[in-house]
Amino acid sequence: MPGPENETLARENNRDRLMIRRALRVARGHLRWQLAVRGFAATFPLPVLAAAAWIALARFTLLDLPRWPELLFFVLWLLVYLVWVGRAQIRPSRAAAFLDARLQLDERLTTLLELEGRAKVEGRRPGATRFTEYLIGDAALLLRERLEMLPPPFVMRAGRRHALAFAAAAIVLAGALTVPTSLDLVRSTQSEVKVALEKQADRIADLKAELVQRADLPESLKQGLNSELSALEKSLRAAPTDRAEALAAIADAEERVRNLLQGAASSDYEEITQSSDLFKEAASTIVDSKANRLGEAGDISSAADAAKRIKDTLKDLDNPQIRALTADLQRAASAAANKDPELAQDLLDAAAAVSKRDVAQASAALDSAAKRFEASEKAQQAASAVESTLSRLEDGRQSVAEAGAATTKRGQVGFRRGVAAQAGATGTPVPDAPVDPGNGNMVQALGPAGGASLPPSGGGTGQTGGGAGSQGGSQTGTGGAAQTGGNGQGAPAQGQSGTAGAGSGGGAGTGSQGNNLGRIVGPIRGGGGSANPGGEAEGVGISGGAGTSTGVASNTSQGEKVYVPNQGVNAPAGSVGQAAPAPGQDTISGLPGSSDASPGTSSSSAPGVGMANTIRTPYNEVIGQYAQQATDALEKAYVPPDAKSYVRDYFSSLGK
Amino acid sequence: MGIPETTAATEHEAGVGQISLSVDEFRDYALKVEQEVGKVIVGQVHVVHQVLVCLLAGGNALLEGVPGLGKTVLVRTLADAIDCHFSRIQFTPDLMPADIIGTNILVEDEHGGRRFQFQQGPVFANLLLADEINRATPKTQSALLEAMQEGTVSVARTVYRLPQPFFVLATQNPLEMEGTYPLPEAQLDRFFFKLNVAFPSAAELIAISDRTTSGAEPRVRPVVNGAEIIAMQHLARQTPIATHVTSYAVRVLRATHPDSPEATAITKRYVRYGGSPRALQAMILGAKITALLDGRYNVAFRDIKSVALPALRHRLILNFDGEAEGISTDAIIAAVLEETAEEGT
Repeated sequence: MPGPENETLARENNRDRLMIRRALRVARGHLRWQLAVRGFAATFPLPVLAAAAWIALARFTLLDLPRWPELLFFVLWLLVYLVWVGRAQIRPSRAAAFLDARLQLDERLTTLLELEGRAKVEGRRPGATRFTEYLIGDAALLLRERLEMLPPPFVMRAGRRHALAFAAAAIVLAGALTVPTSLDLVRSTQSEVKVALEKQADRIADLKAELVQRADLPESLKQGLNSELSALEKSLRAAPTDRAEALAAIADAEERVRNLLQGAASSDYEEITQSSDLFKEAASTIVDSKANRLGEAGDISSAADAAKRIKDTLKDLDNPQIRALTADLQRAASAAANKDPELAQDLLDAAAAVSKRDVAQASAALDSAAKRFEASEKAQQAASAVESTLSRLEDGRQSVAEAGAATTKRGQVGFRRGVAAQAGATGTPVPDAPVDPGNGNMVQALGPAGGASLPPSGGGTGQTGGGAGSQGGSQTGTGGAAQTGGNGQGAPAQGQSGTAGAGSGGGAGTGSQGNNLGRIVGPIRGGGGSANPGGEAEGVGISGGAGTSTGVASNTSQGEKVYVPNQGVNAPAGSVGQAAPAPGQDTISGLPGSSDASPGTSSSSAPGVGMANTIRTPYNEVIGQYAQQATDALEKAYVPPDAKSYVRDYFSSLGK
Repeated sequence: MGIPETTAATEHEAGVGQISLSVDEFRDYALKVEQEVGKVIVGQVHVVHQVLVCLLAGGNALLEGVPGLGKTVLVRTLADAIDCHFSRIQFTPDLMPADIIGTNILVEDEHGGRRFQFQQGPVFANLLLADEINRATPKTQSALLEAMQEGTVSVARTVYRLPQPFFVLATQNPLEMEGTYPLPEAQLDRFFFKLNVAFPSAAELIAISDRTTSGAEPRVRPVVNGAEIIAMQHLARQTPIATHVTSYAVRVLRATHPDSPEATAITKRYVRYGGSPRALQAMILGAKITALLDGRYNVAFRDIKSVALPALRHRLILNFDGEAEGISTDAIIAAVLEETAEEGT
C-alpha cells in the first residue's frame, strides 16, 4: 500500500486505540465508584453494630467503659475502607466487560483485549492481526457514539440485602441508645458519688497543704493530721465509686483525728482566753492612761506583751491605778480559776504583788502567767485546727452522702459504724421524715441526746448546750458542753460566778442510725434550761428551758420517750420538758438513757436513734420559735465563730 | 467423469492460499447469494440464512418439512448462485449404497481389453440434495454419512476424495413415518444444523403463486464460485471469539445434559442425553459466521443464542417422560438458553 495511506491508517489506528484507552479509564472510574458504594453498603453496618454493642455494654452493665471507642470504631472502619478502595485494582478486562455490557458492544472490547493478550503471549498469527485491526476500528467507532451515554457513576441503587442490613444495624444502634435502663440511675448516682469523692479528696489535699504551712501548730500534731488525711485521701481515691466505703473511711478518719484532741476542745480554752483578754485589757488600760500622761501609746497583742507593759509601768502607777490593776488581775484570775488553777494563782499572786508594789514578785508572777497564757493559746490553736479539720471532714461526709441522692430537705449527716452512744444532752423528737433505709438519706435521728450511736463530733450540726447551771453566788458553774449524740458539739455553757447560774441550753444535735447514712431531718431539740430563770442561758440551745431535762431512751421497737421542747425561752425553772412517746425502730446500739435530776445539771446519755414514724408536733410549727431562740443565743452567748456559722447554716437549711 | 482426486485437493489448497478475503467481501458475497436465492425462494429467509451458514461452516444440513415447501428448489437455486456442481438423490427403500457413491463397472478399452473403471456416483458433487433420506435403509444412509463426515468415498479399497466445497442438504418428511428408517442419533449428530421449514404464510403463498404460475422465470446468476466459498469458510474460522463467550457456549451445552451441574430443571426431567461436542463445534462455527454476516468482527452472546436451536435440536435425546408428554427439543433448548447466565459464576 502507498506510504501516505499507511500513515493515515496508522494515525487512525492510534486515535482508535486512544479512544479505547480513554473508554477503559472511564470504565475503571465507574467500577471503582461502584466498588466503593457497594463496599460502603456492605461494611458500614459493621462499625454501627460494634458501636451498638459497646453502647449496650456501657448502658446495660455497670462496667465503667469510656465512650470514645464508639467513634473509634467508625474511624478505624473508615481507614480500612479507604485503604481497601484505594488499593482495589480494576483490571482492564473487567473494565472492558463493563463497557461491553453497559454500551451493548457485543463483547468487542473483551475480545479485543483477549486478542492482544494472546498476541503478547503466543505471538502474532496470520489473520489475528487483521481481525484485531478490524475490532479496534469497530470498537472505537461505537465508543465515540456511545460513551457519552454511559450513566454517571453516582446513580446507583443499593441492593436490597444491603439496605436491609443497614436498616437492621441502625435499629440495633437506636435501640442501644434509647432503650431505657434502670442502670442509668445507678450510673448517674455512681458518677455523682465519684465526683463527690474526687472533690473531697482534693479538698483533703488542700487541707493538708494548709496545715503544713501553719507554723503555729506543733509538728507532732501536723504530722498526725497529715498522716490521717493522707490515708483518707488515698482511701477516697482508691475506691472512687464506693460511697459506703468512703463514708466509713471518713468516719474512721474523723475518729482518729478526734483522738488527736486528747479530749481537749478549743472551747475548753474559752475561759483561759477570757482571762487572757482581761489580762491584756488591764495592761492596755494602764498603758493608755500612762500614754495619755506621757504621750505614748501602743497595742497589747499578747499576754507576754501585757506582762511586760505592766512590769514597765508598775513603778509609775498611782494608788487608784494600782487598785484598778489589782482588781483586773483578780478578775482575770477568777475567769481562769476553773480551767487553770495554777494560772489563776499566778494572777492572784501578781495582783497581791501589785497591791504591795512589789515589783520583783509581780514580775515573776506576771511572767509565769504570761507563759501559761501562751501555752494555753497554742493548745487552743491546736484544738481549733483539729476541730476545723473535723468540721471539714464532716462537710465532706455530708457531701458524699448527699451525692446522687434525691433529698427533700438537706440535713446534717452523720455516719458512724456501730458505736455505743455517749453522753449527750437532751433530745427531742424530730419531725417525721421519709426514711429510705437503702441509702439512709432520711433518717430520723433521734432520741434524747440526739443521735444514737454516734459520739458527739465536732462541727456541723447543731450545737448542744448542755451542761450544768451554776449556782448563784461565787460558785462557778460547771457547765460544760455536753455532747449530744450524733454530730452535735456542745457549746460551752458558761457559768458566771456571782450571777445566777447559767443554765445550759439544750442543743440540737444530729445523730444517725449506725450503719446507715443517717441524716437528720429537722432539728433535734435539746431541752435544757437554766437553773436560774434570770440567768442567761448560754450555749447554742435551741430552746431554753428548765434546768433539768432528762432523756429517756429505750431500745424498744415501739418507741422511746423523747422530750418535746418547752414552750418559749423563759420556761419556768425546773420545769422539765414534756416526754412524748415517739415510735421508733430498734436502734443499732445505744445505752439506756439515764437522767440526772440534779438541779442545774442535765445530762443524759442517749440511746440509739430511733426512727419515728409519727410525731406529735410537726417541726414546721416550732421551727420559727427555735430559730429565734438560736438567734438570741448567738447574740447573747459567747460562741466560737465557726460554731455560729453552723447554727446559722443549720437553721437556714431547715427553712428551705 | 468424476473430478480427479488430486484436482480437488489442489483446488482446496488453492482456495486457501490464493484467495484472501476481507470481512467486507465475505459479507458482500453472502449477501449476494441470499439475494439471488431470494429471487426464486419466497420467504424462508431464516432457513436460507441458516443454510448459508451451514455451507460456509463446511457442514451439512438436515431440513425437515412437509412436501412442497421448496426444499429441493432451495438447494438447486443455491447451487446456481454459487456456481457449483449440483446433484440430487431421491432416497427410496430400494436405494443401494452404490447408487450413491458409485461403483466399479467393467469397460472395454480401445484395444479390446476389459478392465474395471470406477463410475462416480451422484455424491461426487459440490452440493448434494439427499431427498427423504429417512426412506433409505440404514446401510444406504451410512454410505452417505461417510461422505458427509470424511469428505471421501471408499470403494474397493480405493479412497476417492470428494470435491470441495462439499455440502449435503438432506430432507425429511415429518408426515410419512410409516415405512421409513429414522436416522439414528449417531448419524443425526453428523448434521451441522437441523432446520425446520415452516409452511409459508398467506402473503408468501400469494407471492409463490404469482412467481411460479405467471410464466416469468427468475434467473439466478452465479455470484460466487467454489474457491471463494472455500475462502469464506477459511475466513469464518479465523473470526475471534472471547474465552467467556466460548465458556457460555459450553455452559449451554452442558445444561442439556441431565447429569451436569449446569443442567436445568427441564433437562433433568425430560432429557436422556444431551448434545455432543459436535454440537459445540456447530454452535461456535455457526456463531462466527453469524457474527461476520451481521457485520461484526467477533462473536457475541447473541450469536451463540441464534445458532443454538439448529445446532442442538436434533442432538438431544428425550427420555420416556419427554416422549410421552410430547415435549419438543426446541422448548427444552429455549428453556436452557433462558436459564443459562451469560456471565459465568
